[in-house]
Amino acid sequence: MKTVTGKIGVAIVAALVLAAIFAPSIAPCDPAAQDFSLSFAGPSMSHPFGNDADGRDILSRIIYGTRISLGIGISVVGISLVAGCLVGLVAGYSGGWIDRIFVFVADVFLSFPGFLFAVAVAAFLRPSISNVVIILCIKGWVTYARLVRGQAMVLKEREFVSAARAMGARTSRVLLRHLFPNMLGPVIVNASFGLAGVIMVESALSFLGLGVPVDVPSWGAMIEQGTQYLLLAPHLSIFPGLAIMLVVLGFNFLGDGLRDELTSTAHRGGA
Amino acid sequence: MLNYVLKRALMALPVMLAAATLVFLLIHSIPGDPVDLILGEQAMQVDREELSQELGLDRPLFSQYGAFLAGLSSGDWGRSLFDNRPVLSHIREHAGATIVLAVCAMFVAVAIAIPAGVFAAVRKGGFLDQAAMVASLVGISVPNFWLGPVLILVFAVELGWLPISGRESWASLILPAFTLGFGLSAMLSRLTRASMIDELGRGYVTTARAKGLSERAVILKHAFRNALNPVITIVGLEVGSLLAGAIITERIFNWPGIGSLLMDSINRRDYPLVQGCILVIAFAYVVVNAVTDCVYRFVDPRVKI
Amino acid sequence: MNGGVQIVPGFFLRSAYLALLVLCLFSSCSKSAASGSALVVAIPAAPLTLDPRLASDAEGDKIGSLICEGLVRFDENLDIVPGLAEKIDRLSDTSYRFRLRPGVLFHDGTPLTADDVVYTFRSIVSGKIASPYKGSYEWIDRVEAESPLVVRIDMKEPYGPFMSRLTRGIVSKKAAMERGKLFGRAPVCAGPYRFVRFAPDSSVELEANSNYYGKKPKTEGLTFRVVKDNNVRVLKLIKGDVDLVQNAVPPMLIDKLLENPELKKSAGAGIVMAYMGMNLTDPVLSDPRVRRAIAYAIDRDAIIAHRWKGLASKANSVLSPRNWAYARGLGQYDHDPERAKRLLDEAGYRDPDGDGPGARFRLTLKTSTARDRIDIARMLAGQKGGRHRCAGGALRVGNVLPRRAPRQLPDIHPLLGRRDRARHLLRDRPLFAVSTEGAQPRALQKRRGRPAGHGGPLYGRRKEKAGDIRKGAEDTVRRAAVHTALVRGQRDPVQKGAIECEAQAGRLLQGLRGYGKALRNGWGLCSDSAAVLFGAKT
Repeated sequence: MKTVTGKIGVAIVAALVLAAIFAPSIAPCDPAAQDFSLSFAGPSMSHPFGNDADGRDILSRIIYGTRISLGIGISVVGISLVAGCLVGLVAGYSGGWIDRIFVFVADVFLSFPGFLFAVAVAAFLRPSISNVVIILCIKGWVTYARLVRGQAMVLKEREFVSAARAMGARTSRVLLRHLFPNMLGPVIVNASFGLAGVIMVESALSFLGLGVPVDVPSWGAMIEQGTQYLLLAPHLSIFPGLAIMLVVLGFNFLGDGLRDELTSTAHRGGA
Repeated sequence: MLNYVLKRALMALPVMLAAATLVFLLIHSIPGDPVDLILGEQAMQVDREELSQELGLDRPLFSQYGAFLAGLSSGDWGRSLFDNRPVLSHIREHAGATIVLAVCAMFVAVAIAIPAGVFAAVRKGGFLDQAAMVASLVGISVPNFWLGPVLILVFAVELGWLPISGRESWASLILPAFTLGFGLSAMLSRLTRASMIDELGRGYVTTARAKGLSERAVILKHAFRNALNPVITIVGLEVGSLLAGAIITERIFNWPGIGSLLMDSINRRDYPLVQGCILVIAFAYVVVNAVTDCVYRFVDPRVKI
Repeated sequence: MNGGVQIVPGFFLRSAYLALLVLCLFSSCSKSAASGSALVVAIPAAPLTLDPRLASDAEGDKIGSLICEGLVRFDENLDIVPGLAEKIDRLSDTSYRFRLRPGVLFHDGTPLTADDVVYTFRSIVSGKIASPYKGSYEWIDRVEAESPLVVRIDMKEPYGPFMSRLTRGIVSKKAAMERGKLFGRAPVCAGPYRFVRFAPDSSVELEANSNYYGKKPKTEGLTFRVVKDNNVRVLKLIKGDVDLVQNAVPPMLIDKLLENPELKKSAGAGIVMAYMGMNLTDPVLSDPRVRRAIAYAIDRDAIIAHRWKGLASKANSVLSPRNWAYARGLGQYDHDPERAKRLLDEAGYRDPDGDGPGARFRLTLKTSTARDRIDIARMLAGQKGGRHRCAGGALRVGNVLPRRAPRQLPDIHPLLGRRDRARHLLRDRPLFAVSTEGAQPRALQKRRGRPAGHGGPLYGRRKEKAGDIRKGAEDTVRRAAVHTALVRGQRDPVQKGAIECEAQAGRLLQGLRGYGKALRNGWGLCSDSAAVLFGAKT
């Protein structure tokens, strides 16, 4: 990782993953433990980020929140990526009417502003984590599909593809063994930005009350609770927001760094 | 030119149709019976049947779809379940607020982004450029539903300069517009910078410099104009995301626009109104895209549709 | 699976929300921030209509009742006193005669006559205006004008609570017929305040009615401003843009507000209650030991102390202790986690892993989307689940997951409507009837003109007993005795309705008399629930 920002991104993401995995050991308190005598308490020695409306420790909730954010993020990006790449590969490689259908479908999906789509679907569903994942996947795959399709269309004209075909390789083999690995770079870069985006959208949905169920420690929901009590206890909103910002920044930095890394490698002639 | 506009308008129609269909499918593919969701499980059978009939749910899907499209085009978008007034009346009452907010936010975004982008491009590679780049990345990462409350805290609660929320005076517009436009400004500044750098690297710029034109003239009169083209396109495309982002901003600031209307009706399970709001925003998005295309074509006739 | 019979207040969270909070900028009662000397009140939601026959939302009803007065009205002690009717004669068990006050004028100057009374009730009963209150007037057999100032009302059969129904505002027949559907936007009645202007979603302006027969209102005008956001409302009060906020200040902000020397708080006993209904057909909840365990597991004191800052008290009955029919001597379920655990062990639900996170069973708690209901649900959930590692006190009865109910209940509605997926309460032996008018989206009410309710009527348990009561309708002592019997006879927490109804007193502002006292006006529904207890409808 060359750039400073890239390195910072790696550090942040690594910290995030560690926090998510080791949350029970790191978090000082049970995120669901209520203690009304501590309602709205400001930052203190035992509760560095203060307590929320029910007296729960905010720091612990933020730490457990990494699980929510990361979990949802990885699920969504994972599913979207796999689905999108498959579709894109097939469409780009085959061309013809398959491709045209894909373009049409993709256009339909893109005719809707992304967040609005998420809100629209969430409006009709009960808040739940799995619903959030589903909602975000519905539109998520399109980006990867388009990306991969574009690349496939370019790369399929290259010599190594014709060579493989000449050697009698099956289409699927061509796709998976030859084409795809060369697209991995941009796909990974996109995935990193995609994660940032998913975390942002999930937080936004939870902020609106349409995302995770009540009481799940999602950072967006925590901010929302804070806005109710802005006059009384601003710290309820401040810390979760910082967490979101940090995490999204981390993935953005990471994506930037990866892009610098991978594209320059490509330029240096690796294929 | 007129030809192009017409062509573009015609192209927009199927997209709008697709959007409307999508919304229709949404409502009809929710798991569970919508009547159940609205009335609750313990509603009496009589009530359920009435509501079912009212919403037309007892007819076959195609017939409902037909009625839906017919209603859309004839201006009957249904009635709100909450107060029985036509959906379009509600929308009309709230549309103005959202338009004002979106326009101001766009203005804010552009006013920040373009100078910043140009500045950074001109000082490419320098410390200020790098700082600006980092700043813009940070700007993209700031969630606007966090920025809003923070701004409220600082400017409305602590300093007391501006109103907390609601739409009461011109001052009420400042914080919401800034919140909404901020993320966009970060993104636009990066784009402007990239586009500007591109332009500055072109041949004609070197020529102009060689001709002895002042640096300022080179930048402003020539490179800048050309660099604007892709920026304009993106600006147009991003209006859509502004409209969607308005949902959050209006919620934070209690701004009485379509976003607020949408959230209120979602909470009240007022499905006809939810549907109407979604449609209106989606249609606006399509229209703005079409308009942007036309503007782009106007500005840069080299573009072919 | 729900068929017909429905809700019973199973075991309830007996936390009653006692106080009414009124904050008033004392000095500015005269130097008000608004135009002239109108008192400016901030309300949390916009009234949907001001027609007393139609308004089922809290604000519409409160403000409407300032404009329109009924044949009788409630005084500060929730007793019925004469209103537009100055004399009431009982002709028989089912027939009453009301003599209207002579010389009463509507706001437009026309005189009040018996015709207007007849018109008002007939329009509700006939279903022509799709009133959500139609169902509560089904006991009316006939309403006739015997002479220009005398109205006679005949009931189909003796109906104890009928007086409380007659507090509904009487509208001017002429104006109502002229304005039709728009009457609700510009009502003409005979109440202490006259309607001036209604900007939907924004404000309502009233001015004092100089022709009012009774004690003249102390303010020349009243302006109600809609301020939906809690924080903004509080800030406006601090800044002086608004003079009065009633029952719409989050308790947690009260202390902060009182830092301001200009603000005063006035609190009085209210009648709102919050309860948690338990589904008795659910296999887990059908065991009374489980229900009792849940009752012991909840720490209401903590909730009251911190969520309501002491402005509530634990309830152990449907009625407020100030209610004449309140049964004394009913015990309370105090917070006793050890006992809860024992009960659960007895019932066969052992804790699977001791102090670990495993739950004994899972329940779902449904609630409306009103914010404070969700908050309460969250608190309940938190109390009964979780590891409490740093808060101490581990009780793992079960995890109760709060979930949003499909529809929005008006937040004044005393019934929380918490029901879990199978939470349909008593099937075979329902407890008491509480009508749930106004719980449906208005538009639906318009069509059906009868209360949809989120559960339909609840039926009285001992129907035969209830019948007795109805007959002896006017005998208050007997009513009280039977109520006590009904409630005492059921020590099982299921039957112990723990409900206190909140008085959302709009009439408070009528005379701006000492806020403390006047706050207690009966919320129609709640006084009904007392009445309906006896007049259990089948």
